[in-house]
Amino acid sequence: MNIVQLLVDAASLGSQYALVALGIGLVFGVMRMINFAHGDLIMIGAYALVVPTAADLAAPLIGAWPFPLLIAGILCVVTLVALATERFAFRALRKRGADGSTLLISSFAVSYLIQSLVLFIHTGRPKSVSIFGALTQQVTIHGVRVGLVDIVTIIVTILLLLGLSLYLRRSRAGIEIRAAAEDFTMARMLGVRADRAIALAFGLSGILAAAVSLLYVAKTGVLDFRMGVPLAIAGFVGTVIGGMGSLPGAVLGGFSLGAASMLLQALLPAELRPARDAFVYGLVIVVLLFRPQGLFVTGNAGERI
Amino acid sequence: MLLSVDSLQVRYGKAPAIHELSLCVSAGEIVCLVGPNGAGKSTCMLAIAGVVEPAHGDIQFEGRSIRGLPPETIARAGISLVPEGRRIFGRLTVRENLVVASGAQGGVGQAKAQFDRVLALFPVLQERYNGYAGQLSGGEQQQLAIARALICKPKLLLVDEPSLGLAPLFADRVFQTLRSLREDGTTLLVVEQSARRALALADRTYLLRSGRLILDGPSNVLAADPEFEHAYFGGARRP
Repeated sequence: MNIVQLLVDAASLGSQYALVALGIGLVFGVMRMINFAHGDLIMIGAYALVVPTAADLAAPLIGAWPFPLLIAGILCVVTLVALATERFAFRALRKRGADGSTLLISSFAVSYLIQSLVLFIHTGRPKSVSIFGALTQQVTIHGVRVGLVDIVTIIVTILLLLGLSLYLRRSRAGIEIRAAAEDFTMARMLGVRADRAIALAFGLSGILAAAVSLLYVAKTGVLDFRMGVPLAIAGFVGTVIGGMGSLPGAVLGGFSLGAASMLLQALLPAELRPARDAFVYGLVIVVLLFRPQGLFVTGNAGERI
Repeated sequence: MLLSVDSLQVRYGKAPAIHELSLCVSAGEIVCLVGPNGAGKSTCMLAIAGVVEPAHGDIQFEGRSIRGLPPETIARAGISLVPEGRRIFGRLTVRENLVVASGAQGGVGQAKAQFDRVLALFPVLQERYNGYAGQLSGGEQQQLAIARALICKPKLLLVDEPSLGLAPLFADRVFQTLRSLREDGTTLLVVEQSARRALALADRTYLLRSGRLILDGPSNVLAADPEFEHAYFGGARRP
């Protein structure tokens, strides 16, 4: 395998994990809750492409729409589900003063609920679906053949990160979310509406999840009701190694994790490849032993006396 | 009466932090709460701001009960808090710190005028306008915390220990600013550990100790009262 091909593959998986980690990090910022159901939002977005039925052969539903509508449709579905989980599952608990661990457990409950619903409707058998067929081809750049879908994943990720960062810096609502992520109670004492800031964070995380749904399915073409679980774990680990509570940290943490696992996949001797994840997460433990506060936290962003 | 607190009781777990505290603030006044550590002064401020839930009693603002309302609703009703420890957003710029607080106020044009007015009060914030708030010195952060609370044009400004951690010269300046705010028509309720500073600033002063009201009255009367110092440091009030 060519080194450029390898780097593109690594950056592509890294981009996907970065988007997942950022989605989890946004919600964690305002709510101090790790939302394990985030992976299932991604799964919902993927399943929304096909007709809900127990039949083995998947007939496209939203997946058959022309592509601007397809993207808009999946964005709407996933964002609405994200907002619904906030409104009906997490808000009531938060109002009763539930702490982070209670919320974490409830996010597992939401995760299993979504998975069970999809299992019930679609059965547990993986289905295949094809969207954006043009992306499956390889392109040749300076004599190196790389997957078009990987290039698109990287570009879409960069655009989403730029857009989100502009939104968080320029708009009033974005500034309020950043303030709430730093000191939620203080932000409320200045008039920031808690429910709105949290709903907005969930909405943004839904948009990111929808993007991952589309990029994931475009690359693999496979639907599975547990497909969100490894993604949620990767995103969570990404936020931890990046430094909990820091959004740039989440992006870099997720990216590093994805890139490292792709590089190990290629560079490990063939007989060790099945144990790739053991190496990846072993590396994570080593990182956390030396930098328990996370890799990309610069220390004194806090206050001075 | 702008603010009246009636038989307020606050508990942390089972331990009462405030027993049966009643106090009031009229529009245009500066009122101080003084007392040693653990007197319940900060707790009282947080209860008014809606952050800690009272076990008993009522808090009325402009004649309506605000007890049990969420902090953002209380802020939007016109009560702003400069909290203990300042709690500025260090990862936001000075400007962004002010923007967060300006949401409680209507009208964009109005907000712009208030930004100008507040920045005129604190010229150093104008200089550091687009710098990160976490990079400011302690005194500058205290000014930012006050400026932030003023951005939404509060009817009542709560200030918790404004001189804590500041060099005496800075503390004097902060108190000077508080005095000038009253001249602009803001009503203030200030928590202060130093009785001397409190009595010099306030029209009326309440002395708290161990969650109870010990003495209260006009500051000039208390300043002349030989019992005041005695009561502050823990003696019983003589009959």
